[in-house]
Amino acid sequence: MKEGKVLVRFRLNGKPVETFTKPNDTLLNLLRRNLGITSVKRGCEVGECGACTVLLDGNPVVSCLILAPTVEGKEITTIEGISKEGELHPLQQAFIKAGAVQCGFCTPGMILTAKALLDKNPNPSLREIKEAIQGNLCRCTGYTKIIQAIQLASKEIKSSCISD
Amino acid sequence: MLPRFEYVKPDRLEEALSFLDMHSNESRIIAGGTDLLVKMREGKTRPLWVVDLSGIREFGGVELKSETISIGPLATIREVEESPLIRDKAPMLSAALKEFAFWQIKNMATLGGNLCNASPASDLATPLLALSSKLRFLSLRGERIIPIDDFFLGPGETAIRQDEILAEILIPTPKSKLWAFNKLGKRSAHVLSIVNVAAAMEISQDRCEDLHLALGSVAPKPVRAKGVENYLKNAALSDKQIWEASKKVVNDIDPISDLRASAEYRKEMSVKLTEKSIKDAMDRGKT
Amino acid sequence: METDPYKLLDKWLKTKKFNVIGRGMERTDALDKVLGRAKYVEDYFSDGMLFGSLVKSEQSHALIQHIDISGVEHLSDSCSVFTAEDIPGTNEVGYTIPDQPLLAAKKVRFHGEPIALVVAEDPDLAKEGTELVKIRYKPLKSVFDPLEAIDSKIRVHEEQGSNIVLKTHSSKGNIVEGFSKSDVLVKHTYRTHYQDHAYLETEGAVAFPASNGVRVIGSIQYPHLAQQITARVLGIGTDQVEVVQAVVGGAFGGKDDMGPLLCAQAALIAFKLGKPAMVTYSREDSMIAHCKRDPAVVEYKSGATRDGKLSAIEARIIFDSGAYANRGPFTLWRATMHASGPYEVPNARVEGYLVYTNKVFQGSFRGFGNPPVQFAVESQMDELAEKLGMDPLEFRLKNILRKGSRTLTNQLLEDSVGIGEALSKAKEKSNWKEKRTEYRKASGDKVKGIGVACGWHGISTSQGVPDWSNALIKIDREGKVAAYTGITEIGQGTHTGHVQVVSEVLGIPTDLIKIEGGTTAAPDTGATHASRGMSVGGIGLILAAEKLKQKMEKTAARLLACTSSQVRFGRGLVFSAKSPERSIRWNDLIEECYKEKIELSAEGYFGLPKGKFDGKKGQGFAYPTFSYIVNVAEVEVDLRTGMTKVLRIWPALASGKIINPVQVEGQVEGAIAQGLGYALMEEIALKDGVVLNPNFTDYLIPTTFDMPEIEKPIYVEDLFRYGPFGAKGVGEMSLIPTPSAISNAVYHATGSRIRELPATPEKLYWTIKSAAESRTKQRKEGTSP
Ligand SMILES: Cc1cc2nc3c(=O)[nH]c(=O)nc-3n(C[C@H](O)[C@H](O)[C@H](O)COP(=O)(O)OP(=O)(O)OC[C@H]3O[C@@H](n4cnc5c(N)ncnc54)[C@H](O)[C@@H]3O)c2cc1C
Ligand code: FES
Ligand code: FES
Repeated sequence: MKEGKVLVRFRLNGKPVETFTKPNDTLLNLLRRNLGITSVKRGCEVGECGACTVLLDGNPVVSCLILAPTVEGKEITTIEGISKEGELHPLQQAFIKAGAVQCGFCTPGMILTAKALLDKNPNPSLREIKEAIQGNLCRCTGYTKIIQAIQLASKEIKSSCISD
Repeated sequence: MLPRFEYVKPDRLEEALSFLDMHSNESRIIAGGTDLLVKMREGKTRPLWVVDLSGIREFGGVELKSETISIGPLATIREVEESPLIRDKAPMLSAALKEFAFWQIKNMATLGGNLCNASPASDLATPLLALSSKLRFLSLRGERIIPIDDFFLGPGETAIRQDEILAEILIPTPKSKLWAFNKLGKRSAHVLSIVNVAAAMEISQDRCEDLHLALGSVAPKPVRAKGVENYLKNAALSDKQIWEASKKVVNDIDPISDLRASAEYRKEMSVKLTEKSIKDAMDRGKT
Repeated sequence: METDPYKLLDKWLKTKKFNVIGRGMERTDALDKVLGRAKYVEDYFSDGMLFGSLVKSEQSHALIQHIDISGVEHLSDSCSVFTAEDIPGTNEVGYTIPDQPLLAAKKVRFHGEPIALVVAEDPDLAKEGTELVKIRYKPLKSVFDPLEAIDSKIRVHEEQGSNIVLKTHSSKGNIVEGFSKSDVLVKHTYRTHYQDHAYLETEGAVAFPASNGVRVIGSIQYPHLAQQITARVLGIGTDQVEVVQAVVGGAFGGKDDMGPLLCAQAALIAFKLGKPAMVTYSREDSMIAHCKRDPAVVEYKSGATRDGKLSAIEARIIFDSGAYANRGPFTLWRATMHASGPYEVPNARVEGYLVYTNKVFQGSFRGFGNPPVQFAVESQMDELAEKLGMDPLEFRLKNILRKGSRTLTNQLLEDSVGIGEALSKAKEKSNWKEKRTEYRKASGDKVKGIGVACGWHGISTSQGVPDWSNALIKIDREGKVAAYTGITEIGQGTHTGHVQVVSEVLGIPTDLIKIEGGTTAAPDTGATHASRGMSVGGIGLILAAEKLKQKMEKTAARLLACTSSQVRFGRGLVFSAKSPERSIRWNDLIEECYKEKIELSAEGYFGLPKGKFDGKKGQGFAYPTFSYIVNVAEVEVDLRTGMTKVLRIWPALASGKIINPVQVEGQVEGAIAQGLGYALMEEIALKDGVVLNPNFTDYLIPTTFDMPEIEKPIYVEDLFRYGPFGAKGVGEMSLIPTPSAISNAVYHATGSRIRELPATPEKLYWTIKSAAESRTKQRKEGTSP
């Protein structure tokens, strides 16, 4: 069977995108290969590692298990979309500060999941943090500093809300 | 890399049904895709058409219709887990969903996909079995409703017909508030079951009035443990009695040895988790 | 002006107050990483590039009779296939001995061995092509079990007389006497398994044709090794191959072995077809075809006297090398010379065997041969203590290596032995005594236990194998400093530590310094392994920076109107020791030097002094120094299921100077996670040499919920005289004792001992059950112990 191309239109980090995709391509490949968003990482391609996490309408999903044509009309956020006007997101700052980054391969996915968590629940408990990021595997850090970074960012966000 | 196929996304139910009617053999429905994409990547299924149902509105959502909970097949695990209705009326299902995979997968995976995938290790089939759910199917030929007990036939095999869509999951609101769900895997979280057990129970004066017990990952399909249920029916619930009943579970299951566990271990754990589940359910009556 | 490197190192060793050393400086690469800008190999993807996809053997042991590529040619005109025949140079990539091809030629020796690369303009097409390559094999009988392989008639390498690649040996004193004096004896066999690195980024490299050869960007740990191997495979000079590291998504030793192979594969395509080419492994390729931690069988006997002193040990270590020797000779050697654990033992005999089997080959992995033997040692220490009726921690304290002790190989430890202190401190901090007694009394379905284990690890290469440090530092006219080192940044944070070293010595802010690391443009600094990146790697930087200061001293002295020896560097200023209020700015001094035509670059080289080793007896100088570690672990076991939950770990390190505590904590925490996975869940499932779980669905690594609370490490800064500021290595340490600390704690909780890792719930469940059954039986027969 000859394969066709499918037109998909969606919003990527707030900007509209219109592109053609193979029907059998994943969102991961579409982002990385067609749109040059290489911050979305390929770790396993079967949904087990979380390295390819993106936010779909604000919710974390694994882009390796999403068919590219199915994102028609959706809003996709990657790490490029979370720092505003050149200013780092509090989570990005906290990851640097807490030493939560080692090889960095899990980092974009981890931060995106954490962002979705803090957006919904600015004051998560330790258990809620662990639960939120349990699908984001990290082989380098043992998670200790990642959890600390999320706690730090949560404090940071709260205090900036109060001062606003 | 996924095998080649074409993608279709019908906007209306009738369209979907007629497409499936015409291409029943060579198409696969995609809901969340978390099973389908993995299977396609492994070359276990090679459809010519992948049919996306997400355009069909009536397939989402959770609602109460008289005394029955209705779950749309496209409702995601996350939606159902967090639904106040489910938490209130079928907390066992909420509890099972909590132990299911992890956030990203929960945001994508659907109840319908999980059932149609018919994995013997499914974490959802057991609570739905214990809750005596029913399933409604649609095709151009019409509608069909069957009890979930008749749905699973074997690993990956179900009673659904090629041209049918699973259109609704129906759960009669449980009368009793006594329930338990227990899952054991090789790791603390984010893991497939070695065994999972769902129990729903009614007690009156320390006797077991009714027990629905279902186990996953210990037979070619999720099973009800009728032997245990019958043994305990109207029995006094002493520790000894529960233990004796739990041991009967080995007659209801038929586990295999695989990467995750040996058949022997699965048997022992079925007994232990059956005992624990019955006791956990009883404990709920005490608090 | 001091030029003697020993004296310079000694000066810094004696320094007490530092500006940046010992600070938790933020990583230099963190910003790029949190922004998603860091460029890993696969991020070099671009249109017009070629992609290679791996064709792997479907047989464990077979002759290749024919490779049919017609299917690929039909798939697309642009597809091509590379096999052994297409290699222009030498098809030989073995690390220690020449036994391993890049692409199997006549014979395959393990299931999953690379045979060919399908090349296409689209990665998916290349992958599709791999299914169309049809290979006709003549199957041969395979041998999978290393113990069987020792005397098997089946030869993994037909040209070799036996499957034994190497025997190692160390003996000291007289074990017959030692054992006869012993009041208690313990003898058991311990088994450990393959461990996959499971770095989140799989292997990969991208190669670009260059005017006189190739330029390769790889996920590597040693650019100069990748350069050598690539040049050999292509049949060109090393000067025609430039290798640069990409940002590496986890390595842990695995990319020390795999990096060069992938570089050679990508370079082969680029070189022959004249276009940029990328090769990356899928997760499945990676888990099937990439080297892993060597499985081991350790038969161990030890004896002690009633007063709690070790009297003798005897060990036979069998390392399963898989199909190729690779690093096996080195991992086994290390295992052999560490087989006593960090304890004094007067009588010892240790033998090691490295054996070929028809399975995936062994490779470097954090801990490098040491985890299997330390698992045996630390289990035995607990068992001896129990027989003696002693507390296992006190028993260890009685035998622990101290300053002036002699090791298993009779090496005298003149200094830098902080493990005794680390052990005592861990005891206090973990509340050891109380917990040991309290947990014993517990009953119910969930029981708790606390256990301890020690570890030691020789820093740098073994025995007389030359080891050196080398670095080049240049200062540009704006005062910016570029430091070139071959040491790679693989996520461990070493380049950040290097910045601190240079900053401290030159007395300038860290943001003026950039590390140009992991490139063949830098001097060959050896590999980033053996926990040597920070310690050995840092020495050259100190020396180069010192040379630069000397080059500038005269000019500075003139400007400050003082003598050269009074010139001091610090806080971005240069001042006179005589009157510190008079200073000049760093930039002004640099500008002045440029004007005076002083060339501002310097190389720092240091050859590590090494002693003699008698190979026959296995006695003598093994390593320049050792790092030490103690882990105390607290666990909870569910007796109904056998599930172990590690609750808390107290690490204590004696690794010399801690250059950057935040990075060290990161290393400790990450290594504990890997040790925990190795101990409890990680397991490559093999059937007839076939990997059954080449994915994260069934090869389980720890998630957030599997991790314990990890206490802040205790640091005993037992300075190493040749380390930069006294630093030893840290990266591998915490993994080494983690499995035994956990298993000793499990024993304390349950009374059941696991001697074969991993302690999965199922395995522990059966062990507990059979122990309970045999206790009941004994009680019935009236022979209760
Ligand atoms: C990382 C990971 C972890 C997982 N962990 C768990 C776990 O802990 N427990 C567990 O039980 N499962 C787990 N799974 C399995 C999987 O997520 C579930 O089975 C999921 O619920 C499937 O839903 P889906 O919507 O993604 O199905 P899809 O992949 O879209 O579909 C699955 C199958 O059902 C068919 N189908 C879907 N909807 C319909 C319909 N309405 N009518 C007819 N046919 C239909 C499809 O054609 C396909 O054959 C895991 C999967 C992954 C990738
Ligand atoms: S690459 Fe998508 S989850 Fe691993
Ligand atoms: S930092 Fe390397 S995987 Fe998380």
